[in-house]
Amino acid sequence: MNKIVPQIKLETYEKEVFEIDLDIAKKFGKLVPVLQELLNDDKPLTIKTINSGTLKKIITWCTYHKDDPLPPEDDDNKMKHSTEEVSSWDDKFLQEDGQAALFDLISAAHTLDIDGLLDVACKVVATMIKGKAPEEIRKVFNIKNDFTQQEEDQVRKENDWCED
Amino acid sequence: MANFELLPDNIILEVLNYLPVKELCIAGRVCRRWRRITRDYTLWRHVDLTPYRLDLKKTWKVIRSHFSECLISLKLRGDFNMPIKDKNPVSDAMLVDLNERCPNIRHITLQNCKLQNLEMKLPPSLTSIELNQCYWKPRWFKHLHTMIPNIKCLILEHTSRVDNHDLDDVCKIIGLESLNLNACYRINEKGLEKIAKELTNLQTLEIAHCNCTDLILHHISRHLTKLETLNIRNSKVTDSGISTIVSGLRNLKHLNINKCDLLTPSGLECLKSLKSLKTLVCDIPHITSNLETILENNGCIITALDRNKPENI
Repeated sequence: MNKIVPQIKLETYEKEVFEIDLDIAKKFGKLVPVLQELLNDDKPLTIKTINSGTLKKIITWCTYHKDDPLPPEDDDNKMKHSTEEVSSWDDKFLQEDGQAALFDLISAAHTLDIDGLLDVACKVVATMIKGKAPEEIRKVFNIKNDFTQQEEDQVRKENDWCED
Repeated sequence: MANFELLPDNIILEVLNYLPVKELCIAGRVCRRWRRITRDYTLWRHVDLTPYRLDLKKTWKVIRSHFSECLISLKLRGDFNMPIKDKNPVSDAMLVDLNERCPNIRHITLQNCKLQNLEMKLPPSLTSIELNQCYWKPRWFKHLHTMIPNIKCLILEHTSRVDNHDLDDVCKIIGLESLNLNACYRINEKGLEKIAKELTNLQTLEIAHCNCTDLILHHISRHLTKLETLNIRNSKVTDSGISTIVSGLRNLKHLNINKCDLLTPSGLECLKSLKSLKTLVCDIPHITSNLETILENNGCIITALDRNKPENI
């Protein structure tokens, strides 16, 4: 068979090898030059920190967003973005496998430098934090409260302006 | 499988970056690690407190707990319905404190503030000020150009208090590059003429709902040759005014002539020779499909609005 589209090979934690069209892998920010060098190589690039399920999701996301314009460069002078811009497709896609999978995806997006995915995933997590009290946030993300009583009182006092 | 605690600091920082100020402070109460990360300076560069009704005491508390030399922009909002003095989110002492704490602040927005009793010594590091629906001491603008030597941008949108006397003082800020007077309905031809003749460094001028006329457009075209953005929405300008703009403002990129009822389709034809134009906002009946095609081929994005739609500047 004629190979028309150049492909790169990635090996996951489970030693499974994925072939990804370069067209899709162009989303992998800083990794792109590295991947291009490996194009003619038969050996896959091993990324031990990413499991197969996560990589599959990443390929799906990058394929769906293949033709998106590149996200704008970070600008110190700009106000931070609101969380309202997440599309319903992204929202469903990111949340459907539960929290642990979402965090795996975030770590992988960070490793592979996929800015667009990282942004949208962080927005989804921010939405999960919004409107909750500290105790509720701990519960949702299974975080241990490691403040001493004294520290907790102090932090609360510092931020008592938030309480209506 | 990952959980939140395994994510590196910079990713948690990225997540917290999407939280409004209040939620960010609440997140700081979750655990020691979150508290440390929520205090990262990058999260406190642009602070928008306008969603909250904060009195002076509370505003000051936020400033003392979280502001540092990293602060670049700050937005505050008062509440006219609160009669007590302290309901104003700023005081002169607080501004002194802000100036000392945040020597790099560039922008400040004040909304719904009664500032008549204040000296209002704003930090000299500012380059941009926005006052929406505020009241201030008479002739306060007189000292603005010496108080804030590098001011480039002044936004007074919806501050109906602004009159021609204020504009006399604003005209002393000769370095001003951007001026927004949208919906300042007290000003008239006299004030606008002064601006057009004296603020020759302006690149942006927004005077929607400001009684702009053909005569003003004549002065603008003659003197404000650096102008790139002009908003004269809802003005009594005619076709001849538009042709003046086209011949005078050869760098004009953005033009808003929506709700200028005296314009006609033939009057807008001259816009096709304005090659610099990138965006045009106008009324649907004023633009022909022929002109639309020519402008779009020039690389201009056109927003033709329905006149019956509700007001929106």
